[in-house]
Amino acid sequence: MSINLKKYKCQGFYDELISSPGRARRAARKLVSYLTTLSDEELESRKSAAELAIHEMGISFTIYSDGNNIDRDWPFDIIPRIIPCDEWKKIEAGLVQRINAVNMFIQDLYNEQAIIRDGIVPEHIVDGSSNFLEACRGVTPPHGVWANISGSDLVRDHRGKVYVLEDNLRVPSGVSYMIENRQVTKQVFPELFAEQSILPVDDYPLMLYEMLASLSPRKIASPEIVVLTPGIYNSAYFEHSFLAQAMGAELVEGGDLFVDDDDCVYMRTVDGPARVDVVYRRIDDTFIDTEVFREDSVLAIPGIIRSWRKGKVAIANAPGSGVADDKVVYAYMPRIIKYYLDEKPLIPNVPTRICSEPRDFEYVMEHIHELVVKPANESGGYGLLIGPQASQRQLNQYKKLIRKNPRNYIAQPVLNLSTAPILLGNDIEPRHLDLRPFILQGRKTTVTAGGLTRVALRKGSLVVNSSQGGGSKDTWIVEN
Amino acid sequence: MLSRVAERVYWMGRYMERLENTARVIKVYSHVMLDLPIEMSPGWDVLLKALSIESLYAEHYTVHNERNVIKFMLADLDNPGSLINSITGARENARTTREVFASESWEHINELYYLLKEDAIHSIARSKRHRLLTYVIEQCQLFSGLQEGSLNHDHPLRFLLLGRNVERADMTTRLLDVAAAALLERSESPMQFDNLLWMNLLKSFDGLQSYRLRMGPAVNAEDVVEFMVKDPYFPRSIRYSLQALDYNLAKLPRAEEARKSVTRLRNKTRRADASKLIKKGLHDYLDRIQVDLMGMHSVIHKTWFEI
Repeated sequence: MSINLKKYKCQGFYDELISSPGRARRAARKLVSYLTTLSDEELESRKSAAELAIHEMGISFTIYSDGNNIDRDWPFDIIPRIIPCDEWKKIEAGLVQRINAVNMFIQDLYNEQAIIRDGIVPEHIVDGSSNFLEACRGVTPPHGVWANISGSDLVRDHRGKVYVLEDNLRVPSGVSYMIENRQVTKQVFPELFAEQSILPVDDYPLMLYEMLASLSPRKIASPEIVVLTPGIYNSAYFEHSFLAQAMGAELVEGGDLFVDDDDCVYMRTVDGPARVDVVYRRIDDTFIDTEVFREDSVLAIPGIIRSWRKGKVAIANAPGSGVADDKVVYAYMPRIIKYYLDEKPLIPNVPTRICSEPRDFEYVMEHIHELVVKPANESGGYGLLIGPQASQRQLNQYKKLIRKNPRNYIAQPVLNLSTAPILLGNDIEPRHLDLRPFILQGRKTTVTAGGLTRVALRKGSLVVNSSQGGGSKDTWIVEN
Repeated sequence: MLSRVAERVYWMGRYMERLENTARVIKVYSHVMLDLPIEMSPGWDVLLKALSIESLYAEHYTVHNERNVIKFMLADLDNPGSLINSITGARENARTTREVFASESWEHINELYYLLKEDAIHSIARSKRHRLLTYVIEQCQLFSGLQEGSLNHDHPLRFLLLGRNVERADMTTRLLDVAAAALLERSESPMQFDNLLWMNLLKSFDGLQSYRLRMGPAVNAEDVVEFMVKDPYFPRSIRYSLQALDYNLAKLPRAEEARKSVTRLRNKTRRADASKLIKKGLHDYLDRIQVDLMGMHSVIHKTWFEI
């Protein structure tokens, strides 16, 4: 017995590896034919090799469950997801285009606000938005770039067309999983790496370091770069520690840094105070400085915004970049790209209805039962309405909410996300997935080769979040 | 190196050393109690006194019996020096400094933590107690080896060793104090098995062989005190711990003040006269060293952690 391709049912969706029953897509052919040659025992042993490798690295995941002996499994499927290189190049170009436009947009919002004056986006995007930080007005960060590290969530529809579902511009996480996934897969399928050209992903920390170094106010050979973490109890602490280690940067907490009379930022070291050039913050911007933002923050470095405004320290992402991480802004992205670059988006948005626009409003009211309604300022799937699954009462309730505050809502069609096979026992079954590539912009712009593929491990589920039964896969960009 | 990280590494070193030495002190005292006829038994409160926790103990227990005292030392969360609290302290500091250490050392501490959490409370009976304490001591030794074999021999190891040696010197004074209390008080009528007990003390330091090589075959009070206080070669003697402290201090920036105070302390141990101390004032002498070590800790804290 081994995997039976003919029995794999992926009809109705676009499958990343299998084009029709029994037939693999071109870029996936080597992988799929290799998988079908493996006996049950071999499959089993590959799977346990992966589990062992994960266990060895995964011990670090127990830090999530403080004090309790819960062995947190790192849900990982050993069958990689494959994207052909030529297709990836197009996606990459689209992501670069997008981040260019996003950063010009944020720079504009905190300075001239030409795009509002020209009536392209409504004023309420800055006016009264909690994401627009007054303290950032009039600042131009290094290279005019605000969102230095971003992650865009990409999905495919049933025909295989790629869309941007969401842009994460605050402190996107998951990149360490991308790197660890590859390390595990290399141990599990070393033969496949020898036979074909798969683009590497483990140069990310180096790319990140170079990008951060390009922001340094002091033009010196090795600027002091720190990773600012909220601390051990943050769920992404593992990643903070991982990146700091991989870059050879200090992992600091708020209390390790202070701003001196010269408005420079220093860290407290056993050699005495040491000047800090670049802060890669993994805490929300409003927690960063009690002089300017939340006074109750215990993570803060009082005065750091003063230092940043004077250009004595770089902060990535720049404070205030969250203004563009908003579902309403997302809806305007095609127009934002057109406005600044005079180009059409290379990767389209999921068609999005903006409830504050009269025509869209009417449409949403009539078709709410077939749409997904999202509040503008929530993340992680909170406050979401999935029309086809909702009761009449819920639908009416949302209609009321939208009518009351149309600015706060957008609506999208329900997407039939693409699938890929996961290994289940000794057979394969399709599961839905998405992709989060990471984009770095400083002096140069770079995109990870692929990114983090998140997969819904439950049958039929569209939810890929790891907190809700999601797992991940290695992502291969294969040269053809 | 960040001051915060240095401080946590230092405390990790202290907690691991405290864990090991507490296990040793319980082990040796259990042996002493076994060897002595009941009517000569010094009582379990002596152990509490040596560790300066008798008043804390009195807040929670009224009877000084073996079961209570051992429970207090092994598994009681109200006793900051209990095995369970030492490993918890080490683990807390290890988990917040993981980027400094090899991943094995975190796993090692974590496993030991779960073992103690599970087993300490069930290991009060003598037979089980012995097995647990021996295991803890072995694991602590393994941890030390792991650190010295994997950590970069720069700041992180220095601070770990500062913590270890401050704690070790302190714990050696306390172990000696236990023995002094149990034995010296009867020195006017030495019993034939006193030497056997001193031998037990040396064994608890894994130091019997080293003692014989340095001091000769006879085991007696004077030589043991001499050996444990001022031998310059035995790694658990007070003097040696201070030498090690100074060696590590010398590799750190801005260490002048700390080195001055450790030199004062070293001289104090070098000049100690064991035969006099045994006759009178060993307990007070050890007490003064403990106070000086606290001063040493304050200097370290002020110089590197409180920037």
